[in-house]
Amino acid sequence: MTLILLTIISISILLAPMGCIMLWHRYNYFHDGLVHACLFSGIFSYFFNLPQIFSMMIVAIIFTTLVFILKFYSNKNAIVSLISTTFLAITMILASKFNERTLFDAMLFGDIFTIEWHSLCLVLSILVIIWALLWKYLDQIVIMSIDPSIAKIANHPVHLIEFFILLILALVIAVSIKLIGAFLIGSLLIIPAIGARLIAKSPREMITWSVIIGIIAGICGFNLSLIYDWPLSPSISIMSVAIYITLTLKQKFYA
Amino acid sequence: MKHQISFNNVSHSYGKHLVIDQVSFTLDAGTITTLIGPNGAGKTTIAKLLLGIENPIYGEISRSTTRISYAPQQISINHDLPMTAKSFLEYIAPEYSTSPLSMDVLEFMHFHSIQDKQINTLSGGQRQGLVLASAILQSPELLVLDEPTQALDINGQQEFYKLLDKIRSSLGSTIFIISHDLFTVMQNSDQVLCLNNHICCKGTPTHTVIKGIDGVSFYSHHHDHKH
Repeated sequence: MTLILLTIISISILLAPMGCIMLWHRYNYFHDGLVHACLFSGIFSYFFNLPQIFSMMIVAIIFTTLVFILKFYSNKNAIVSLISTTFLAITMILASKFNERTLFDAMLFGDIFTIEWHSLCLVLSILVIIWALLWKYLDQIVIMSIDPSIAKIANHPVHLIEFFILLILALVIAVSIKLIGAFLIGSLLIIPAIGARLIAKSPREMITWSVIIGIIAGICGFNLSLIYDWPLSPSISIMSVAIYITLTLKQKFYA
Repeated sequence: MKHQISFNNVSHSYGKHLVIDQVSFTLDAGTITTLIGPNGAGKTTIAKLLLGIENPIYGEISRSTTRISYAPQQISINHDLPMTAKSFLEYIAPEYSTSPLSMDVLEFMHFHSIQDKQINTLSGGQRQGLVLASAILQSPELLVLDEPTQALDINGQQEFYKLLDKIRSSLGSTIFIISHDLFTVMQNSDQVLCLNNHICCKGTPTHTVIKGIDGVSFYSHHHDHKH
């Protein structure tokens, strides 16, 4: 139980800042698109006999590269939708030929109840790397969010940074899908970030609040699940939404 | 006078659409140049080439400056990015408090009354003042301003023109302005460029604007050029 709780807390800390950056760069549907595209990894694992985590990472890299290249030709969220639909269609056609539903079920809800210490160590290692990168590049990321042309004139490598943001985001989401399932990604990625936006006055504050909201939703959802014997993922999602509604009401009536 | 920027026969296109055609001009150090022209004339393209955001498909641009700052016409603030006016300045012009014009610029944008406000709650004029201030406070050698007075009220415009003079005298910056405002052109420019896909006329404000308003050279040149 301790291991599950620690994993949920670690993933909350990992996803919360990425959710903020996703909103700042207007990639609002990136995680939805990637989650759909990652269903393809089930087929990939089946054909190439690869562990699913590696298949997901490969699909995440392909997805990110395609989004990054094609965004120069059309609206970025439309491109995300286009690519995820393509992956989904191919997956469904291939899946109709093979009976491999177990892979897809595992992706929806993750392997959180069978998690082992080495998986937590993997999450913690990624956590340290992501926060170190954030510490170093946050200012550049924020300037790019304000106005890419100003960032470019200030000699920030705008396209390179954007590609790495997408790549890291995709890899973090892929690892999180494997552990906590696709269902929970939105609850720990986007909802804490939009909740934090209601109370934060600066980008750093927004990241801090989104981490706090993610952790509270994770811990409360976990306890809710234990006390009332509810499924874990929906319990955490319900808590995230409850926190968001509370902050919205506070903002409306007490701001 | 020393040339800081020079465009030599520069052409640029987007796809098959030729936006600017064989444009040549120079910007001398410490001068104010204003670019005027109708919509679609290629003014923003000239600014992008000047700033190095895009490279010309033909011709050559030489720059003897690296410290460039830019104030876009407007910034589309992302509502998901929380930012006060003060933190905006800290991100875009981190050393703003050490600029020799710091006091003047902060007074121009009424910094003390807006510093703790979120950018997306500021009025259009306050937001434009903030963007201008952030560009000026980087103490640039070349300052590029796109329609700098469009959202400012009459007082704001007058204060801005006074500030332009101070920027030139204190920092010695070369200033390049894209504007439709003839007052800016007449009162504050050393050189005026009229653009309509190519340079129709250039010279001192009096000479160029009168020639432009006359409508003979400015639009008929374009007509002749197209046909």
